[in-house]
Amino acid sequence: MIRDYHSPERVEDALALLARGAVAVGGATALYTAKSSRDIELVDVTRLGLDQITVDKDKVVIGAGVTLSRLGAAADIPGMPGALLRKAARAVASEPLRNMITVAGNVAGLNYWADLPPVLLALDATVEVRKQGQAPSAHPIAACLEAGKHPWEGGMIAAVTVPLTQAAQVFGYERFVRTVTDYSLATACVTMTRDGALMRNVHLVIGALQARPHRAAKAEAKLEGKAYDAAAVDEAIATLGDLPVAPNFRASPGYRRQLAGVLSRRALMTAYEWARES
Amino acid sequence: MRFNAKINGLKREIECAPGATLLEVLRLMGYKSVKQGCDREGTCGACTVLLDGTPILSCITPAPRVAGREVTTVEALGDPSRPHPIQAAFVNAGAVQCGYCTPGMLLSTKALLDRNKKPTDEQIATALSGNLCRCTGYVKIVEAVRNAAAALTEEQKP
Amino acid sequence: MTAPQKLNVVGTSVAKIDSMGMACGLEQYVADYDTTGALIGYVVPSPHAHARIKKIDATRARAIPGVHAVLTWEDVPRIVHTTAGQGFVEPSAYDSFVLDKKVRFVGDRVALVAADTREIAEEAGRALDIEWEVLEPVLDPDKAMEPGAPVIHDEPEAHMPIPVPYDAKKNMAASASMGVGDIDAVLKGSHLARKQVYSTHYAQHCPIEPHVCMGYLDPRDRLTLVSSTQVPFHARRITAQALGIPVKRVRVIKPRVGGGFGTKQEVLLEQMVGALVLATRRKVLMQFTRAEEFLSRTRHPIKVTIEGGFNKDGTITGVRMTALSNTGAYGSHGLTVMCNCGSKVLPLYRMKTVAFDATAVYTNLPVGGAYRGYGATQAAFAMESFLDEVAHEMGIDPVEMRRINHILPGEGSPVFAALGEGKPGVEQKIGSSGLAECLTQGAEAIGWHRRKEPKAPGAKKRGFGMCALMQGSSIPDIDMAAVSMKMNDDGSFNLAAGATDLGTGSDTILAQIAAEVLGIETSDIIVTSSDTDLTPFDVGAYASSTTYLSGEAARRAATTVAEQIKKVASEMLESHPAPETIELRNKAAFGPDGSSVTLGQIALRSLYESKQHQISSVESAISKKSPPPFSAHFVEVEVDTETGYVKLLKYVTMLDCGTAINPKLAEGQVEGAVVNGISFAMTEEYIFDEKGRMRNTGFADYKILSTADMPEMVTRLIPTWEETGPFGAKSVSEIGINGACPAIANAIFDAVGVRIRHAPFTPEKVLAAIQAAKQA
Repeated sequence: MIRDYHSPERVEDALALLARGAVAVGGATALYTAKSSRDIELVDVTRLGLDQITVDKDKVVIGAGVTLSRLGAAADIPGMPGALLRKAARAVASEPLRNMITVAGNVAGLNYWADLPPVLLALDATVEVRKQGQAPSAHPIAACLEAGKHPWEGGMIAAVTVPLTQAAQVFGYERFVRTVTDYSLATACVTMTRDGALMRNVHLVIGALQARPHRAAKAEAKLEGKAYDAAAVDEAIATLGDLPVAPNFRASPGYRRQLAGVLSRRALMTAYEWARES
Repeated sequence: MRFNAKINGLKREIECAPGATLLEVLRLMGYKSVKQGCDREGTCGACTVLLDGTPILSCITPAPRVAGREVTTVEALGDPSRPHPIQAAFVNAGAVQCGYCTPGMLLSTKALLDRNKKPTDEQIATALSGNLCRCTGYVKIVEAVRNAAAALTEEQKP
Repeated sequence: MTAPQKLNVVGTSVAKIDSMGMACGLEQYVADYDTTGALIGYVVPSPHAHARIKKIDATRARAIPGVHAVLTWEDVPRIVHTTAGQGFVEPSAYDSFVLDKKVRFVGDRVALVAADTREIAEEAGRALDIEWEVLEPVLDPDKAMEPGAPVIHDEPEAHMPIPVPYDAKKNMAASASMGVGDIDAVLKGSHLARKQVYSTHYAQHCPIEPHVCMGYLDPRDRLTLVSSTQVPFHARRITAQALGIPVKRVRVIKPRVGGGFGTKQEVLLEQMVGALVLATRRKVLMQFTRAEEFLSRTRHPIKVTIEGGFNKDGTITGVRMTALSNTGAYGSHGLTVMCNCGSKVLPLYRMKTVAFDATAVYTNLPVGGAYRGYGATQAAFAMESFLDEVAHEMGIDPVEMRRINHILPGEGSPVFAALGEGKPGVEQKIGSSGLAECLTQGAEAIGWHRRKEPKAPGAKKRGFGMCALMQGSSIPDIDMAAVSMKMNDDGSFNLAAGATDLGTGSDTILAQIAAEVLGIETSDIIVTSSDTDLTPFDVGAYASSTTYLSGEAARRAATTVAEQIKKVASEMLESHPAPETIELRNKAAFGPDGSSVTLGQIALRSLYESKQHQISSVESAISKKSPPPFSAHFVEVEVDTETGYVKLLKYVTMLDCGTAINPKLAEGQVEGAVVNGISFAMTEEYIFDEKGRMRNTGFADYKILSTADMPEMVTRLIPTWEETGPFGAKSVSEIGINGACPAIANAIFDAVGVRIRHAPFTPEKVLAAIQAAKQA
C-alpha cells in the first residue's frame, strides 16, 4: 500500500523523508509491478532539479533524474562516453518508457537486464549519493554493483559521473533482444584506449547474464597492452566459456552464455573498426 | 491527496489516494479515451497521455506526480466536427480498426510531430514502439503518421 | 450474382464509420459505460494444475468489509455446458460448469467474488479456506491418452452433445477421421513418398482490450450484459443455459470491442457476471487483467503429421494428415479446430486419395479456443513446410510445386464433401481463384529469382521462402445471418445487424453493400450492431463469415427495401413505370424516361401521405458453400548464424478475397493478420514451469511485435468475382495469419539449410538447429 506521496522541491526535504524510511521514486516504471505488501511512503525525486547534464573538462555529471530519452539525445556529452551513453540509452525498452525511466532508477532498480549499469561499469562511472546530515559521497559503480552493496540506502542517488579524457577512446556495444522492446538476454560492452597499435585500459563488461553486470577480467587480461589481432581476440573470447549464468525462463543458460561470447567478439570488432578509422 | 493540474487546458482540482495511478484518476474524471491494456506494467501503451507534451504511460504514473503540470488526452485534440489533422489522417488511412490503441497512438504521434516535422519511417517506428496494436499490423498507422506530418506542414504554409 | 457494370460504393475505401469517434476517444467500450456503483467481479484462480476441492469455506472471505458475494461451486446451479460460442447444438464437449469442485489448470475457476474493489476481491480469494486434494496433472499431450493417465474429466456429466467419438475416461475430447481412396496403397505406389511431423505452439490472441463484461438487472428484472463479445446471440443462449434462466430474461449488448481474433468467440465472463449479478442484485463489472487474459483461451497447440506421395513430375498422388490437438483443460472448439486442419488445408491441392485422422486430448494446461486461422494456421505450417521439403528434394522450384498441384476454378476436392465440423462437409467446386496470379505477382514482388544468387560471406545469411494458402468463407449449411432495414423520413435508413463488428469494420461494409443496392452513400445508413433485443440474429463474428454471409443478408435486406421503394416510386412518377424498370441512384428513383423522385419524397409519402406503411425488411442468409479466399506469401529473411536471430527483411502478401468491399479495410485485415502470424512464428510462446504454471503472463515477457519490429511489408489484393458472395466478395480476415510460419521456416531453410519443424522459431531454437546441422 502506498500510504503517502511527497513531492519535495528541495533536496534536504527529500533526504529528511528518505532518512525516515520513505522510498525514492524516479520514473516509477517498476513501482506498481513490485508487489510490496508493506505500507510505504513515496518520495518523488523528480522535482529536485536533478535533471541536468553538466559537462566539465574531465567529467560529465548526469543528474539522477535525467531520463533515458534525454540521455539518448544528449549531444553535448563529448567523445566516446557520449556516443556510448546515447547508443545504450536509445536502445532501452520503448519510447514512452524511455521518457519515464531515470538514470538513477535504472541503476538503483538493480534489475539484471538493466541496460545502463553495464555501460556505466565500462565507463568507470561513479555514483554520487546524498544522505541526510552527511556530506555527499562518491562510490565507484563497480562497488555499487557488488552483491548486497547499496550505498544509496537511506538516502538517494544524486548523480552519476562519467570521467572524460583526452585519450583516444573507443567502444563497442552489443545487446541481444528478441524484439526491439524486449529485455536484454545478454549484453557486451567494450571500452578501451588506443595507445598507438596497442589496446589499453580494456574493459569488457557482460550484462544480463547474472544478477549484476560484471567485467570479464580474464578476457580483459588477454587483451590489455596487446596489439589488436584475431589471435588475441580468440584468446580473450575463449575465457568466456565458463561464464556463470543465473538461470531464468527467457532462455537457457547455455544459450545466453553463447550469446555473451558472440556479442563480446562483435563489440571488440566494432571497437577495433572504430579505432582503425579514427 | 488533493492537488491541482491542468488537464486538456483546464485547471482541475484532483482528489485521489496517494497510490492512485494517473490512469485511474483520469478515467474516473471522465477522460475515458485513456485505456488500460496491461497490468500496470507500462507494456501496451493504450494508456499513453502527454505530460507537459511528452508521452508517458498513465498506468504506471502516480497521479500526484502531475500536480502543477499539464496532462493532455486525445479528447483535447479535436472532435468529429473539427478533428485534428492527426485524427483525420488516422481515419483516412484506415489506421483505426478496433480503436482501443488509437488514442495512445495519436498522442505518441502528436509528440513526435510537435518536435519533428518530417520524421523518417524509422523515427516513426521508434516513436510508436511503446504502443501495441494487434489489429492493423502497423502499416496503415505508419502511413497515417506520414500523411499527418505532410498535412501539418501544409497547414503551416502561409 | 453476376458482375455488374459499375459499382459506386462497393469497392471504395470509405472511412470506417466508427473510426472518427474512436480517434476522438468518444466511442464506448464496455468499461466506458456508466460503471457508477458497480461491484468488481473477480475469479479466484486455481494454484494447482489438477486438484479436487474437498472442502471450501467462504465464511472468512464473506466477512471482509467490501465483499458483497463469494460464490463457490455449492452456490451455483450445476449445469453442464460448453463455453464455446458456437451455434446450437455446439460441436464442442459439454464439460464446463459455472463453478466446479475440481480445477483442471493453473488459473482455473475456484470461486467468484463481487467486491467494492479488485484489491478487496483478491483479499477475499486469499481468505477462502480450501482443503485440496492435489492430483497428478497431465502436462504432455502425447501422454494424455496413455493407459493409467490421470482422468481430467471424471465428472459423470461430461459428454459430447453431437454424435462424434468422445471418451473423457481416456482424456479424449474428440476425434474425427475421413478417407477417400486407399491412401496406403497410393503412398506405396508413388514415385516418392515422405512423412514428416510438425508442431505449433500455444499462443494468445492478445486483443489490447482483454475480456470484459458488465452486467446488471434492468427495471424489469432482466439480466443485461454489456459484453466485449464476438457472439452476442450465442452469449445470450449459453448464459441462460448455464444459469438455468430463460433466454428471454437475458439481453446482451455488444458495444465497441477492442479486438477479439477468436478469443471473444467464447462465453467466458457472461455466466460468471450473471451469477454475481443474480447473487448481489447489483451492477457487476468483470475485466480480465492481462495475466488472466493469457489464461482465458488460446490457440490449440497441434502436432500435425503429413504423409504424401508424389509422381515424378511433382504432382501429388495422395496425402494423409494426422493431427493431435491439445485442447487443454476443456474441450472448447477442440473438435472443430482440428477438423479445420484438414478441411481448410487439404483441398488447396488436387488429390484423389486423401486421409485425415485427428484427435483432441485433454491436458491440465490452458484451454484452447477459437483463434483466427482456426486449425488452418497449425496445419498450413505442416503442409506448406512439407511441400517445400519435397520440392527441394525433387529439385522443383517451390512456386512451381504449388502451380502444378493447386486447385483451379471449376475443380472440386473430395475433402469438401468428406470433412465438415463433426459431420460430413458440403460438396463444392471452386468458383473463383486468384491463386495463380498471387503466385506470379508475389514471386515478382519479392524478387524470387534472387534466391539463386550466391550467399554473401559472413555470419548473416539471406534466404527466401513462400507458401500458398486457402481458408473458407462461413461454415456451409450451418451459419446464418440476418439484417433488418427501415427507411426514415429523409431517405436515410437504419440497418440493424446481429453481425458483430469487433474492430474489423463489418458495420461499415454492411452499410456499403446496402448503399450500393439502394443507390445512396454509406453515410445515409445508420448501423446498429449488436443488441439481442434490437438486432436480428446472426451467429456472430467467426469462421470468416461476416462479409460473405452477413453481407449477403444486408444485400438481400436492401434489395427487399429497394423493391418496396420502387413500388412507391412507380405510383409517384407521372408515367407510372413498372417498378422493375425503375433504377435507384443518387438518392433517388429514376423511371426509364429519366424522371425521378427522391428517396426523401418517397419516404414522406409512405410514412405520411398515401398507403402509409413502413418501408422495411428483415432478410436472412445461410451459406450453401464456403468459397475459399486464396493467398500466397513470400518472405526474405536474414539469419544470424551466430545468434540464431532471424531478421525479416521483406514480407509480401498476395491475396484473393473476391471483391474487396472496402479495399483499405480489407488490406488492414490482411496486414493485421500477417503481422500477428509473424509474431506467432517468431517470438510468441507460453513458457510453463514443471507444474504447468505459465511464467510469462505479460507483454514484458510474451513479446508481440511493435512498430519497431516491422519488416518492409507489401500487401496486394488480387481481385476475382465470387458468384455466390455479395457483390463478388469472399472472406478476408483469417487467411492472412496462416502464412508466416511456413513461409519463414522455408526461408530459414533456404538461408542456412536447416529445417525447423516445431514453431516458434526463437533464436535459441534456430541456433541449436544450425549447430546440430554443423555437427552432423
